[in-house]
Amino acid sequence: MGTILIVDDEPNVRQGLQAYLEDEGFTVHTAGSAEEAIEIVERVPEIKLVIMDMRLPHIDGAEGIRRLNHLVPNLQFIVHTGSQAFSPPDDLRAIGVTQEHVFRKPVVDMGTIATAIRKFLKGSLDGG
Amino acid sequence: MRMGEAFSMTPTFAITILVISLIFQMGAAILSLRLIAVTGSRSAWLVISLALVVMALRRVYLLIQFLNGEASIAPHFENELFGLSIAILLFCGLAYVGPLFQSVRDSASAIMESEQRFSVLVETSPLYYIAVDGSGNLLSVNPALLEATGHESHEVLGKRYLEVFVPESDREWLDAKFADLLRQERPVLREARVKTKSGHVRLVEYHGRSIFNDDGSLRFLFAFGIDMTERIQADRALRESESRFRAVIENTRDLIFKFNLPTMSYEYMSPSAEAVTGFTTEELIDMGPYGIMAQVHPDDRVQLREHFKKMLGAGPRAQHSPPLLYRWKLPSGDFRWLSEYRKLVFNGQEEPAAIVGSTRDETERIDAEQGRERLQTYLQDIIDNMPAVVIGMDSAGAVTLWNREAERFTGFNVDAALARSYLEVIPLLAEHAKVIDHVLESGEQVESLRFSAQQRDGEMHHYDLMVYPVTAKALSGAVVRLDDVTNRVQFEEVMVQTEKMMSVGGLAAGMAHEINNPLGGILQACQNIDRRTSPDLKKNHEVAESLGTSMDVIRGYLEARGVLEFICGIRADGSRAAKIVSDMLAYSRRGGSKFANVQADELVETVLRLASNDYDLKKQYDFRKVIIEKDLDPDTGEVWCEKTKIEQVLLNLVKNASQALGASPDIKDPRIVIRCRRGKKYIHFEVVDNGPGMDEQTRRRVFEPFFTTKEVGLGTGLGLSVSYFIISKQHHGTMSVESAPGKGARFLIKLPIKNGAEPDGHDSDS
Repeated sequence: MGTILIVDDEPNVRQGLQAYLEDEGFTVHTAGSAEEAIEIVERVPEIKLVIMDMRLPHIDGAEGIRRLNHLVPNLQFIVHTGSQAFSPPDDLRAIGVTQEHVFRKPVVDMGTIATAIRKFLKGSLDGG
Repeated sequence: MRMGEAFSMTPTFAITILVISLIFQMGAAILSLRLIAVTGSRSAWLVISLALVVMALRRVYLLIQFLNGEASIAPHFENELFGLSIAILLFCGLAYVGPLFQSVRDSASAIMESEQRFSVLVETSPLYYIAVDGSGNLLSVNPALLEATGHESHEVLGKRYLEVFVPESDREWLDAKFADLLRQERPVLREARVKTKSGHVRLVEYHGRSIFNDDGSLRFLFAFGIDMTERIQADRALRESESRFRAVIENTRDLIFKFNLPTMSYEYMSPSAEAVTGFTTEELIDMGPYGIMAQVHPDDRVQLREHFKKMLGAGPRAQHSPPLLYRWKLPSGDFRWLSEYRKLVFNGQEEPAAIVGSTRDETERIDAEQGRERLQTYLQDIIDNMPAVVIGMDSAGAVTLWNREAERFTGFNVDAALARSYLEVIPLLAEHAKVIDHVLESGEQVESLRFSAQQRDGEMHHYDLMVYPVTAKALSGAVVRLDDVTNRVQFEEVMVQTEKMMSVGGLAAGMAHEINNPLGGILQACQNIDRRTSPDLKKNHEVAESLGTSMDVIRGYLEARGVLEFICGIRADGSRAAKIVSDMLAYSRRGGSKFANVQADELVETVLRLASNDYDLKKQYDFRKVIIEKDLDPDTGEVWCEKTKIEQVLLNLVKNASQALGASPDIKDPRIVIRCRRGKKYIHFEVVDNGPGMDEQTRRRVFEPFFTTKEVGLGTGLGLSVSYFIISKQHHGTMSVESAPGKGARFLIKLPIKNGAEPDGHDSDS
């Protein structure tokens, strides 16, 4: 189905999402920080999409996205944030992170995320 | 022939002759004795008297002899007759000489008396007396002159007057004058300088009398001298004093005048006249009393005339009257204020003789006075118009200043309040008497203090009290300023509360973020549990079977034990919690959402949800017990508004309604209707409740800031006023309320329908 990476400093969040998405058939990797995420993406080129928490220790989610994008240009992103009023800054929009890519915590139904992942991966596949 | 023989000598005749002779001789002897007294010379007359007595004795002897017949008288007859005639002559002579001697004696004694009198006169006279001879030597000097000059008579008599009494410096001059004087019969020498022994000089005026010899040369000069020293000194002193006095009068700024009453004219005007009146002294004197009165302002003339009359009527004991104040017309035509003191002067017969007075230009003073009055009025106005109560008091706490606000606040008029103790007229301050007393005693300023007191209107008012010491020497005391700061305090409370709310809002936002994570965890875990216990996932079956059981069994067990229900419950509660947090965050978010088209029914739903989650701190009401009716017209469509603000307004109305209902438990069927429909120009929102309603007084005030019918602590009284502001000012709509006691309340909001542009003129897409 696809290989994705979940980046969040909360283990519960990682666990919960991972369990659901694996049940959905995705291959799921997890990272606790942006630095770890970069390291994993370098190691696992199959990763096509990253679910990024915005509030991370050290490098924050936005910076993480920038760096990953630099690393792997056609990497897809989903923003999973606790901030109620998050709107992607312009440079993230340019990468392709739109409001559609933003999911606000708490996500009551993880199915919506799964749907979005499928949509974005399909799009990227199509896009090449 | 012998004479004796010629007569026949009868014995009788002889005796008579003897006796007569005897009598005359005795008589003469007595007269002689008497002359002793007259002439004072004893011996001469004694001898004569003795002789006469002897002669008389011989007659007696003869008589005795004759009577005895021893002798005849004839031989002695001629002797007897001779003797008789001598006796008679002697007697007559002595009798005649007596008065002569007497008159000589009389005139001598008269002369002596006269001399004595003259001497006494001269000796005791306070005037000086000198007598000089033709060469100017002193023949006589009286004690007065001796005493005055300190000489003894023996020192001066015989010496030249010039040497003794004339100072060296004058001698030459006097010597020359002397010659001149001596020719006059009654010379007078004024201001003659007379030298005393101690060297002082006295001034003497001499009046003399010259006695001339037959050849015209001076024989004697007698003179009386009047010591003029003191008088001349006094005179000089007087003249000096007069000139000093004159200098003062002429140099004083005030006009000094003397008005002669008998002649009714001005006797004297000092030179300051011109500076004071604008006219010279001559002009004024010429003008006379009538001309002068004509220069006085018509309104002031009566006063002057009355004063004049009164002054003449009062006697010499009259007191000084207060100064007259009147306007004087200057030559330029302008008026100037003058003040004048007058005093009536009497002559020797206690009749009014003149009026003396001084007149002063009071322009400066009056201007200053008027300036001061203006300033005082200005200050009084400022103090009166201050919205604070301002009270001045003296060091004993008696009121000295009482402004209009104080009158209004206490109900005591300024006249009623002055001089009374502040505790009497403003009992509100009684509890602060300590502070006020401290200021009065120490003159220290104290910090303002705030206190609250229940007022007549039943409401709690807050006051700021400031007490300032007044330390000017003459007016020590204090000023108390009382400000009703109830509004400000309420506002401050609201501010604090708002701050709290904002911080709570901030807290809430932070908390929300913190809560969202664990919530997410809970919800996600629930979802996973749900999925991993459902028969839908292939993997589930695989794992179940690998453990030797089946999903049906597992699921059956979970269902039977209600576990699946629990999980459902957790999920539902978690969702709810998430929604509460999300709504709360949305509600407490600061600042403008911009104007946008918002679905009306969505608005209402959000509001109701927010309201249902709203548990008041004191749990005074529980919203969910109230029935909410939604009357939403489906054609309402979209509302052009600021979403959060309108949510805030509607929420406020709903909360108020439910609080009203909650506070009236006897209402059987508490219900709130929220209505929404589209009109021609406006979108209409209504919030209607069947609560206790409001009386007219309350209804009218309901949108007033800080007006609240709730108890202290519940609400700020701002909700409706802010709502009103949001609707009317920010959305250009209208907000109103209908209510009556027992009839509930109906709040009506009208929001204008957007016609292409935002109400404040900006384009919508931004």
